[in-house]
Amino acid sequence: MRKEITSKDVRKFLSNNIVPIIFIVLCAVCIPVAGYTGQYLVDQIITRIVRNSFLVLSLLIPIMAGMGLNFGMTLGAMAGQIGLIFVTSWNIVSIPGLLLAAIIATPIAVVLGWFCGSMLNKAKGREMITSYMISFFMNGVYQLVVLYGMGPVIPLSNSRVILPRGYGVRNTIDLLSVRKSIDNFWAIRLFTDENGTGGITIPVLTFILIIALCLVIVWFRKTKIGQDMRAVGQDMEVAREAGIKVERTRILAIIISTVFAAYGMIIYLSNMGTLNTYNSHSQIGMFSIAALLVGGASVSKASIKNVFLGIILFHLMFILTPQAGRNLIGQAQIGEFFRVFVSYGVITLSLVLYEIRTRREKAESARNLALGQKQEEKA
Amino acid sequence: MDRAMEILKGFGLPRLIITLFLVALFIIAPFAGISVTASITDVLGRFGQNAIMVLAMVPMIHSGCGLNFGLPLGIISGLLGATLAIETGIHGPVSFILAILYSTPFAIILGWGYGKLLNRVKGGEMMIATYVGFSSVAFMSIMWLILPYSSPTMVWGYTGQGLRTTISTEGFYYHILRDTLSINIGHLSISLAEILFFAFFAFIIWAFLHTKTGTAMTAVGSNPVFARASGINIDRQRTLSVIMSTWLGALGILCYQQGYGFVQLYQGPMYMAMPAVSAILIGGASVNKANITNVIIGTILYQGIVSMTPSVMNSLIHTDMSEVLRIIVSNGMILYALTRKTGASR
Amino acid sequence: MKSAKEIFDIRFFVRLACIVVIIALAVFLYNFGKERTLLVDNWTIEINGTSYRAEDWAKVSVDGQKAQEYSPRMRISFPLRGRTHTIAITYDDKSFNEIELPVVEFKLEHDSSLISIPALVAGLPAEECIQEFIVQPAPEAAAEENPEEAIAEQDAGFGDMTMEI
Repeated sequence: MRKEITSKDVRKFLSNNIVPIIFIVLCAVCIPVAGYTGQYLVDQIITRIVRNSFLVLSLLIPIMAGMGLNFGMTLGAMAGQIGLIFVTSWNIVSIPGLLLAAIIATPIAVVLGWFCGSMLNKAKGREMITSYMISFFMNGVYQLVVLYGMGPVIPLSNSRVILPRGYGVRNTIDLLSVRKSIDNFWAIRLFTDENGTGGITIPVLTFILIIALCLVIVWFRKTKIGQDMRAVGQDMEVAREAGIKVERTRILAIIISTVFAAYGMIIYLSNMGTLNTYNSHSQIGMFSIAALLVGGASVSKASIKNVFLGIILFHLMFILTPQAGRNLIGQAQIGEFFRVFVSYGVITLSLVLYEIRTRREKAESARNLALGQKQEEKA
Repeated sequence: MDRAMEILKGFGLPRLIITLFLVALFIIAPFAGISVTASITDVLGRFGQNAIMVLAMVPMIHSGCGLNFGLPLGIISGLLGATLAIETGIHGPVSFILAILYSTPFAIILGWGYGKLLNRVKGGEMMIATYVGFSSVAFMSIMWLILPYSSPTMVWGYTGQGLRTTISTEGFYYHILRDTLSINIGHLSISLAEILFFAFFAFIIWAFLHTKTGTAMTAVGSNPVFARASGINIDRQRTLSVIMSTWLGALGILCYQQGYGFVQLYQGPMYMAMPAVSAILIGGASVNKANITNVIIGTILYQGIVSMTPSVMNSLIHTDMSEVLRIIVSNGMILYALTRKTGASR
Repeated sequence: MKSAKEIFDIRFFVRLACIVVIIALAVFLYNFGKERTLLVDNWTIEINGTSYRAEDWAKVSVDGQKAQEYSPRMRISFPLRGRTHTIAITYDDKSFNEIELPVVEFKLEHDSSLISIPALVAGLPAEECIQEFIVQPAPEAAAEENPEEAIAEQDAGFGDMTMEI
């Protein structure tokens, strides 16, 4: 029997996917207005996927463990940046440099993740705002280390990294020595013009890395610890009664996320080619989270599909709006403000929808429970 | 001894450290060649500027909506009031009153909507408040560009369109409170009007919290089940508290502008909630408990540290670590409050 | 209390081994990936009191790369990855016979080193031909950047909205 599609189904589909639908409409409107060529857009989107997907993927595991959106991924980004600062200062180049940066970043990310996880265990039920504040707090500590610690306490002296005054890291560090070394290791170029420029570049190795991480996440869901995390995410008390070490599992989820975020930041920055020591990390959490939510994820549910759809839609909007603003109103700045408004707005909308949905579900289950009791009494 | 420990515990270790730090700063200051009286003047001036924004935290904490990270919404109402007052072109003290009057309807409407929204997301208020604040700031950034303002003091000179990032309040309500009723004793100058202005609103809030509606609001925050049982309309109380907070936020920013001298538009209000939130927490409030004393103590401590650290540090070690220290202290304080077990489940 | 047996079980050793392997990898990457600058130099040089005159003509290839021709007072810099490298020199003797020097292997110890062709031609051991080259930092033309300001600005919310990602 064919299932009838009722208006209720349509409404449910719409309400569950409202954010991606808004974005698809928005992009559909902006594409002709901005007037970019299809080839340019595809190339740009491939670049954005390469840059950001590792970062966005790092958000999945805490969501699985019921800890919401991990705003503390900024901590991982800081760890990755510290790794890159060291590597640039030592002048380790190319892929070995990035690998070494990852090795240096890992223990830092583990410690930071452990700190974040233990803090979140003390703030159950308000993980998101707490992880958000942790990222702010740690930003101060990071600045203390990088601005006053590096040079006198942590012996770095390379003038490309350290300020002439002898302490503190420069505002921007040129990552020329490691720039795009993973991407260019094995890149396929399509549709280039006769000068060999333009067209679409596909960095194969980076894609292999990203696919590998996706597979790891898929595999991880099926392991014992992954199952535990899902149980904890479903209901902490039930999980505890089933003998799962809830606190430990939650800390582990955050640690894994932080470490992946550190690797993601290294990939992101090596693709960008410059490190803004005091800025790069602070916005990355917000943009990654917005991208994930645009892909249709919610605070309690997110999949790999959401990650990629989200990055494509969100970054398409990001590329299009300044140009669309310029063409439409004659001011690119409006487009820039608009895209920031949209990123914040998307997060707000998703959070609100999630809270409303959870409350409705709670109310429904309570009603069902009451109904069941009544029927029992009758029988 | 036990009692002393008890008091100490109630006071909280971070608060104790911050107080001692501030006292130490004041003790060191003369040796570093900084005049104590000038410092006190500075701290009190900052207190007058910022205290009302900190006061804006109180109603929402009382009704159980948590820390008002959505303060930028209130600030935006204030900015709308300020820009409209300047647009009318009336100079002098009247412009300050006009700004308050103009910002009030915006604060009430925005606060009402914001309150309705927060009622639908009970339990997740703080995170959503943060992002409501951010999105409204971003939205208003677009609006400042396209709203049809025309006063030449505010609009970009060369395009004649869109507001400037900072607008001077000079000639309008610059130092309107600061310079009224100020007492000068040597280098020490205290602006009575500013403090009285704050005291007036602090008193109103205090008195309000002791009226029937006020106690109902507190009941909603401290024990929602009991409040519901005794027939209090929870949602209405919460909306009312949010409107009050938003309006106080608007007043707060106007008071800030008259002291600071500039109206900051665009991204200016983005992170203004954080100092206010951490000030009230330093003053001894928690996520679900706050009073006027917390506001006063907190603002003095916070502003004291903010104004004293740079000068003392600079003259002692010739390194300005104050900004970084401020970030660590203020955000660490918020983090401490959020992770305390005693806080409600919210 | 955990007993000694519990602590020193097989897992402990596996983890220890993993950490050792990773540290070893890090050390390897440090040595393998570190880029040092080598200046190949054809100047008259004095080493241990003996003066070695610059070669009139020489052809030098570092690590088997494309050979470069040198005239006196020439200096070319090579960015080299790793520690151990080779240099092959061909030079003219007084009667204009091209002589190929056997390939010399050497190690780079400093971030920036200078290797002297005349000293190598004279047959000095490679270690004596290499000196540390201290780069004189160019005087900063631009005003010194001030991260403190950047932080203050960032906290005020500026520079937020126009970020490229």
